Amino acid sequence: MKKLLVLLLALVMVLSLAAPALADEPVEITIWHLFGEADTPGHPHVFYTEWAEKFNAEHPGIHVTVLGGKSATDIQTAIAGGTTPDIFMNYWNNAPQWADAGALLDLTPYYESDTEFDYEDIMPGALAISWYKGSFYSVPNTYSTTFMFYREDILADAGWDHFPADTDELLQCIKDTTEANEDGTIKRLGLLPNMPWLDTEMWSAAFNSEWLAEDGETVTAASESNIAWLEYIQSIYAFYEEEFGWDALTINDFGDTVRGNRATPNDPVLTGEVAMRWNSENLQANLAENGADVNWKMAWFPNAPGTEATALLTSNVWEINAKTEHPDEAWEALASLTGKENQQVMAAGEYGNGQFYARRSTLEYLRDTLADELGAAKEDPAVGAKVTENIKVISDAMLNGNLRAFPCCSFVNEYLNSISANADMVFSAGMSPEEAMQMVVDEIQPLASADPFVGYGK
Amino acid sequence: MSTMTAVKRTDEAPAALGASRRKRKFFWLGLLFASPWIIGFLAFQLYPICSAFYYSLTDYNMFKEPNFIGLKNYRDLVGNRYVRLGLSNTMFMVIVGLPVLISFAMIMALIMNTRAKGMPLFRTIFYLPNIVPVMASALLFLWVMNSRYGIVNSALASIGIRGPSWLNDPTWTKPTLIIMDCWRCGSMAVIFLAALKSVPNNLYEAARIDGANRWTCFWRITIPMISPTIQFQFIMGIISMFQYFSQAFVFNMFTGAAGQATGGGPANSLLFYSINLYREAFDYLHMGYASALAVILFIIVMIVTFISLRISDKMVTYDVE
Repeated sequence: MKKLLVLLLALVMVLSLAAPALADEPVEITIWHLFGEADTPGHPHVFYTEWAEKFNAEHPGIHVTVLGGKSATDIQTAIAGGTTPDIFMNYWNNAPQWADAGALLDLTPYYESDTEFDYEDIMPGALAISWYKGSFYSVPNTYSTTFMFYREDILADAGWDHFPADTDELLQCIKDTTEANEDGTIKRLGLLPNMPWLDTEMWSAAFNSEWLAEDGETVTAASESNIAWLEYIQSIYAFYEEEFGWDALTINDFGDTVRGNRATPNDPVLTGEVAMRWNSENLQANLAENGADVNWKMAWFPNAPGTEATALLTSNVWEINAKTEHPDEAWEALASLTGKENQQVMAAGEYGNGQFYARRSTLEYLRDTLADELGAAKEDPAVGAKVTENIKVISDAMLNGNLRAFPCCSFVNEYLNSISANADMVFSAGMSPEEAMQMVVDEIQPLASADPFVGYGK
Repeated sequence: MSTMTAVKRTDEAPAALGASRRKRKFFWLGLLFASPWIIGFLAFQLYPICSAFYYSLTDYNMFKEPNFIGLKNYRDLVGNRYVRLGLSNTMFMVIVGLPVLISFAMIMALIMNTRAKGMPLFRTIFYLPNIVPVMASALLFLWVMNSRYGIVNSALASIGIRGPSWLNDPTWTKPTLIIMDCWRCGSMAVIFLAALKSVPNNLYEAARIDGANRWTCFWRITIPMISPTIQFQFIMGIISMFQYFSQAFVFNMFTGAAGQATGGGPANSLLFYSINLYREAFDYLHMGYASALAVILFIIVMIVTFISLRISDKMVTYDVE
């Protein structure tokens, strides 16, 4: 008994000594992102770890650890079971369902109270996809849209001294730039309608069509403008078949071969296997790196004639785990990570060719200052000039263009999957566009009726 | 006499007591040694299975406490287009894919059972794909079956046949997976080979003396003698085909419109039941609904396995001599 008492006393003394030390320990904040953990200079993970080192040095009360290579499913299972990670990167379209499930911390109070964060500096389109049912659950990270990358020399050889201004011109340009080998096989396609994939939201943006009516409840997948872009893609396939005898399967097989080479030195634009292809703006950094001696250019994705110029907006976002034990510290770290200062540092991008973030101030800094600096840093002045020009074109388009996102609604993933699956039925199974889009309506309308979409600020 | 009996009884009692103690000790020792498996089974198999039954009656979404909603999830999945599609694609693999796979593995085992020169090397080479992870195999097969540059279509072209669009034509996507599974059937073939090796030679000798040819020997001796193995492979095959997932998951990333692992491939031809289940669980966070799908799959597999066992039991020969 005596021994036990002595032991207890000793334990109490040890704990009382340790307590102040424990209290001084910095709060541990873990951040997971979707990129790999590469250590090449300029890679996002390198930017994040450099930021973390700086942040830790400036905030002795918080210690941030950054881990990469995490998929959305990794994050999902981790936060379902515990408090780690505190902060994580996510795809914007996961936010509504994760928020409804109670996985995300409501960031609205922080948005409103943290004046230094200055959320009004974030582009409105990006804010719209971070807003769900009256609350902000995400902080936008990248700001991304779709551009057309094309071979100026190939278009010139086909008699085009400018890039197509609308989709009618685009179809003509596709016809003019497509070529067959002597044996009748594909030498070059003007455009692959599903490269890198059948980007249904991009096509619908190009045709200025909506997926939900103003009331946020009526599914408009079968609207005239949505049928129109499907018919437009059909007309591209029809041209290939009628003119060259290449059916949709032949085109898609060709796509399988070249798709794997995207953003490599053998990107089909660089090899000339396609005259034009669309991609997010990030491709310019890659093509600048790999295609210095190729005459490629980029342009805004053309819209249907007579429609308002609009383009698709996407973004990846940062979110905070609803179960985090340190929400204030997590916000402090996140506000710093996505703040003006750090975004300007990260805007140099992976190859020093620019990376586009959702803050207006960052895009302006890129366009007005960094574009020239990054271009001047290139060894080859011609490459430097191209980098500068492209960054200016992109950031200007992002600042002034009409970018709009898919509705950030509770059924967003079901809707996107339904559109993709049924649109594919048009090209893989011969279904009519009307029938395919009506199937989308049939699948999604019950979800929309049950939980209507409320747009940003409404 | 009575004294003798009494003494004997007194001797037996401690002996019986000792045996009982030993038995008890062995019992606990046995349990101790088996405990890692038992704990694993309880924690990682029985508990998740029971949980799935429970969650299937709730609106569980991984994050919030589940609410009991009765049979709603089961009612919702009846008539759901994607459940129907997933089931029909999966049944194709069970009804067409599995017999093809078993037949191919058996043919390969018969070939490997011959005494041809270089057979050990052939066996090794044939088994090798089996140790390649499924994901890696699927990625490799995307190139093997590539319609323009793939080795299969190149071989077909060399004999004047225009190969199909394996990965983009909805008619050919599932056969492509079956071909890939045949390439990876090394372990199945090895089990058949072991069964073939165990067939006594004297049965063949006796049959030959009676004038039986090879074909008759195969149908009258080989097949009945290895029938328990065929039954085993068939039952295991049914279970794994109903759970068809990984290969299609990879193919879906590169085929069809969506470019998504859960996209379903061209015209939803690769939307298997398990892919749809995964999509509901992780893309849509409908964990309760996905649990209901899992329960239904469990019941389907159980019924099909039970029926197959009952039917095949009549065809299986267990007595060797």
